Amino acid sequence: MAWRIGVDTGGTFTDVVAIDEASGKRYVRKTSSTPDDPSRAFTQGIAELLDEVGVDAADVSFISHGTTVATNAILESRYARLGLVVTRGYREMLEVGRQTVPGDFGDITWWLKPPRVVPLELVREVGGRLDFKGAELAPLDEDAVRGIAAEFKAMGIDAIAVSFLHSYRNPAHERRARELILEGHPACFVSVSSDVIREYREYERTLSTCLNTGLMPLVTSYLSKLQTRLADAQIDARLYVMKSSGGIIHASEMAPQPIAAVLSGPAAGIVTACYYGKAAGYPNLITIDIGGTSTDICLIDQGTPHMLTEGRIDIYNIKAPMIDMHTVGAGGGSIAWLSAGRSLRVGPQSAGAQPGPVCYGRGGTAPALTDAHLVLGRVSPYLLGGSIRLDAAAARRAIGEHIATPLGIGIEDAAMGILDLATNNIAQGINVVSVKRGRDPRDYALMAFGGAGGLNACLVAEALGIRTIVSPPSPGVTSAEGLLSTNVRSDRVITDVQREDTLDLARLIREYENLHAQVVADLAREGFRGADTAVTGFADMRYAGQAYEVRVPVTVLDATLTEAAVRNAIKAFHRAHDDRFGYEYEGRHPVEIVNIGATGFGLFPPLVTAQETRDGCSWEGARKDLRRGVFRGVGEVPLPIYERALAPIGIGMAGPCIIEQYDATLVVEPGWQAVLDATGQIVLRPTYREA
Amino acid sequence: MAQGNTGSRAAAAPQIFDEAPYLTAAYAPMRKSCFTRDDEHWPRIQALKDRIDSVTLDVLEWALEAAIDEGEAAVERTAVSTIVREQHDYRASLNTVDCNSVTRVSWAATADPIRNYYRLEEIHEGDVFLYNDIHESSGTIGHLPDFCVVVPIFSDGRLIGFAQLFGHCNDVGGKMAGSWSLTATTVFEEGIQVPPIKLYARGVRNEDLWKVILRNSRYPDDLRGDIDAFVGATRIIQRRVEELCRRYGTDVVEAGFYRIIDRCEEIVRDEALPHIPDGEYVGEDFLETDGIDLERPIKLMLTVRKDPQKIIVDFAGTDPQVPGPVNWVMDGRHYSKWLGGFVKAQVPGMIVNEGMTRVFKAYLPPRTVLSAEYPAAGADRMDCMLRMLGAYMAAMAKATGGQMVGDSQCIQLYGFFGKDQDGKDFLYREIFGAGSGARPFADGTDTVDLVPHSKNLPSEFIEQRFPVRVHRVGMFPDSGGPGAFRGGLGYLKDVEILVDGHFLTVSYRTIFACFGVNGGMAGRSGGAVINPGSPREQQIFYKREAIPVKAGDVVRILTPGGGGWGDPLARVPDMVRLDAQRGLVSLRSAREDYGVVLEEVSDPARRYEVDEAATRTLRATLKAQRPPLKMINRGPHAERLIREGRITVSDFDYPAQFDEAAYLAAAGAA
Repeated sequence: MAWRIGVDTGGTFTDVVAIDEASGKRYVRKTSSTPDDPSRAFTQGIAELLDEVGVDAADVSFISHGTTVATNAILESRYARLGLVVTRGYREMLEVGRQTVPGDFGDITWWLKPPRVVPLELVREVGGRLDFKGAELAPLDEDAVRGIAAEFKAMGIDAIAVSFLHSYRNPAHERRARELILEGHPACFVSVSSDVIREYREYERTLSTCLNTGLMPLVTSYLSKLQTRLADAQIDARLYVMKSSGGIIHASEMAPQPIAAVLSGPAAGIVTACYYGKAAGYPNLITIDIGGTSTDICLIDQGTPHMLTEGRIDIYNIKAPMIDMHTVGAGGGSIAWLSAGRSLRVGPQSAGAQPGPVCYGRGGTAPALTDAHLVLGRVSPYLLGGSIRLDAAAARRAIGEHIATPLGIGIEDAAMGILDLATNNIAQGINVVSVKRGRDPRDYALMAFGGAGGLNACLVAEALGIRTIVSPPSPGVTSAEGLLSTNVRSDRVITDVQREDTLDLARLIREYENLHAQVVADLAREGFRGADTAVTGFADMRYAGQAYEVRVPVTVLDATLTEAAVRNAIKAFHRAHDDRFGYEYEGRHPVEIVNIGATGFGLFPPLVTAQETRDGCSWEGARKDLRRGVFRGVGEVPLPIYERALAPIGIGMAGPCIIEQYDATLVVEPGWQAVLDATGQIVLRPTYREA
Repeated sequence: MAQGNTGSRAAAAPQIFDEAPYLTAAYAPMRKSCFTRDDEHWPRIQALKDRIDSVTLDVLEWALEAAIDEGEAAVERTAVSTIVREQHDYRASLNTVDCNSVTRVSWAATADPIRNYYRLEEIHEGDVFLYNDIHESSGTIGHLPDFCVVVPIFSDGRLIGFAQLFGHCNDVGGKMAGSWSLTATTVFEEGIQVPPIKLYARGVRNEDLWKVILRNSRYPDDLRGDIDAFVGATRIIQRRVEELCRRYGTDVVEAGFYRIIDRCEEIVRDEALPHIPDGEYVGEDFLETDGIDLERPIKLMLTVRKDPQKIIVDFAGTDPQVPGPVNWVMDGRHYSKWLGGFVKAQVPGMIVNEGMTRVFKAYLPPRTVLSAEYPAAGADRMDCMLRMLGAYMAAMAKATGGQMVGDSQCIQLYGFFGKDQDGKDFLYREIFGAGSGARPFADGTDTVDLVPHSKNLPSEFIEQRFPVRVHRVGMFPDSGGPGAFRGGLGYLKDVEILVDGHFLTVSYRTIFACFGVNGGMAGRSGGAVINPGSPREQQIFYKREAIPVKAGDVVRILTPGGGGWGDPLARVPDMVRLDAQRGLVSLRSAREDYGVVLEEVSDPARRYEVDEAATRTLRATLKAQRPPLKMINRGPHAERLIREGRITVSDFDYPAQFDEAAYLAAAGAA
């Protein structure tokens, strides 16, 4: 027997999923997280699950981990105190940034610039300069680097970031600087910008490098602690960590590039969505992961999510490959409020987990989205198997006092208004990843997960005209599951801006071949070779004059590019531009190839999907309660509650009704019908047919 | 002008200001064009407007804002011109059929010119209108590089409104590359003027017109890319509104437009106005020059008359229109939204739209520099836009007893143009932020731009694209106006040009300074220095169209520091120490401006320590010697002009109302 284990550490719970490779049978365990030392819940969760299922530690073949260690360190500014070494003349690079004030016009008067990752007194300049082609204009001042290493060592600075101008074209100066720093200060963590991301735009590259460097000590010690705890538990499976790109990487490879793991957990959820979407026959999906404070939205085409080369964590734009997820401030804890005493708004402020919605009874006084669901009878007054009891009367009072009374409307109407606005926020977020990218959301199925995903799914689908909703088997532990259905991934990219009319094809081919070889080497280090690997090419292009690029795939044959492949990629760019922005300039305006890159996958054997049988199950047998619920256009109606684990396969159940399970609630609105399929997923469709 | 009343605080019974004087020939009409509705649908929509439920209205309001966001985002990704893309100098908006703005605006254009040129029955689905003609724009477009695209929105077979988007294109012809002439004296020197035309009629582009427009740009590919991006964005907005009509019904959506406008009016009156003290307050500011006469500053003056029902901003006292291109060819309605946008700070989440103009009213005498008439030049009217904010802030500083931010000058352009090594024309033009004004609760911000989401250009991008090398990008030390809270620092950027060419500056506050507030001192002026520190050093003041530069010349670009706030001799000494350690404030400024004596120490983590005793003594001496602190401190250049009688201000002796204990509490919290 061989078992794969996925562990996803969240703020409240650590989710563990184990799958038997042979049968595809899955087991799920939720255990309380231990934020003071997340590695404790990690090993405890695994031990409890193995014990429960009766699996021997020696039978664990693979462990994959989704972690928030890097994300939380950024959010809470808990990265190491570090020094920064830059090109002469650029000492104030982090201070100046991009001169950007976020928010609205006029906000400059009150906006406070957050503290920089490296304070100005810990930034040092050195001589040495490259031009934009990578040619040396002035040699690196090696003595200056040695002096800085000695000075930082004396000051007790044990992490140093290095970022030089144009290093994306030629990393020689940065690499030499690293050697010199490590000679003088061997215990120091050093990362250089050309290793973090080989792309132009010095501020963003430097900022990502600083965060990466600041995270290295913390992530290194966390991962080694995990390894130790696994060894103590007699588990000698390889430990992988999920990256923001949706691929995994061996823990030892993670330590020098922690920045690649900032969206570790959410990325794993998307991997699961891809997996279940394909299993249920819906490879084109829009996913909504509704949590306590926000909703993550992702669009998946043909089982593959869109990728970005940068994203935003808190106040920082981070340059690292990541799944294109859009986050909107609408979650169960999002607070409903009145702007100027008369306009209803929901979010972006959130009651979060503490104090939480009013109904949690933990001191929250502002009505939240969950309170509205409760008032309308959409959530059970008992959550997580009765471990949390909700106070519906308090929720009613809060909505009445803060919303309904000032607006002069009924409490149920106010609650429905809160739902409508939250729905609207989520629907608009979906437009961002679909319509704004030239995709029609009605061509996609909506997959809803996260604890609250199923509460809002039908409303969101109705707002967008989406006619299929998919609810995966365990909506509350999708991230942990995704850790088991992914592959090892390596992305390599380099910036070399070339116009198509003056293209040095030989150079482009040479660059690609280098990247390809690096990716193959990355995979070989992880133990993947030949048929167990897949490498694809990509290019980022724009029309000359534009400043943003569109990524298109480049066909690779025998590890090399051909002229035809490049021409085809340029054609694909024209089509993609037209698709996304409504026009293209093929033959009329030159294209610039900005970045060229390679992505490699180390492929694990595919998982078997367990087939559900559910012999003897019926909806009558699954019915466990009858409440009253309020729905728009229908009013107050009896609302049957069904237990998901007991639902029958292939038999429809019309709304209004609620399907509950341990970690999630699915609301089937009037006009919708739910059917459980043999892969354990519930598919919802409208019962009416439009002409 | 009742100068005697300047700054007087309101008496117990609030004075109600009479609007009648502004409706006479002494003032231009607040709105240049007006449209009324008497169509068959109007009674139904009006009736529905009062019945629409508040939640539907909220959903509509946010959906419309989201449509605007979506349209603007598409422009950001695809537009070509630097000013559109990096400076975010473009705005989308949605207008009713009678040309009232529904979505958030501070300086968005409207569809008024389309209605002036086309009868309703001449407007069809698929039409795309284009214009940039400042004198035919009804106060919606202020200079020719701003091309405005308007598409009509139809639902249920009727026209229900317009989606519009304007953006600042790189070049639309005229005497100077970049179409930002600083010496034009009529609009004809500034570029092609396109009155409202149909670029597309029923979905078909007028190719002949299109050729003419593109032919008039030095960079036709850029212009084509921009306008295509604008058209794409307006169509996105149009589609979103059509979808809302399908979902909620056309009547509901249209009624919603008008109710959303009413709601803005109600919110401004009921929620924002109470935050502003009733009374009458004067504010003034100066443009350094119109670009033609370097000896004559241009005065902007406004009097804010606030009562419980409204705000009137009266621009009497503002200088007449001038020969140079700083004229702003607008109307009071536009300024109402431009200045009124700032009340939003009092009401988080509110949408500022046409409703603002019913409560916050701006009135201009005719033919001032802010109400200029044909054929005034206007390419550089940004100078007026920024100084108008200064005048307004000065008035509000008095209204609030000094609880107002220091002045700032956070948008300027510098650039180089010529032929690159391959003989091709290039224009490297970059927008620079500067130091923002100090606040009553915190220092100003260093090197930021006034326009949200604006971005500077990465050196790695500049060097790829243009024949220049960027040797230094940082902050201008000592530029922030000293104060209990310091003004933000401006930029210091050294750029070497690698070919012979020209250097251009669109810079303000190069001899004047950003004023300090409530005891704070003025910031340092910006400007440029060619070959600093060399025998060929050349100082550049004012805005300049084309200064010849040679390959190898290094140009130092400096942008102004923000005004300080509060008494600099009260600044917490350790804040001065940290600024000195970071190289932002010199030891000399620490001593002379802040009265802080620092001594160098060996600890590399500190570098300086405050000599407490010497600091106390020095501060006492400086306090005894100096004149009383001013509410508005305009800096040495303005003070000299005032003493020489070349400019006049009403507030030269207006005293600061600085409260040291309140400051120390705020500094402790900061």
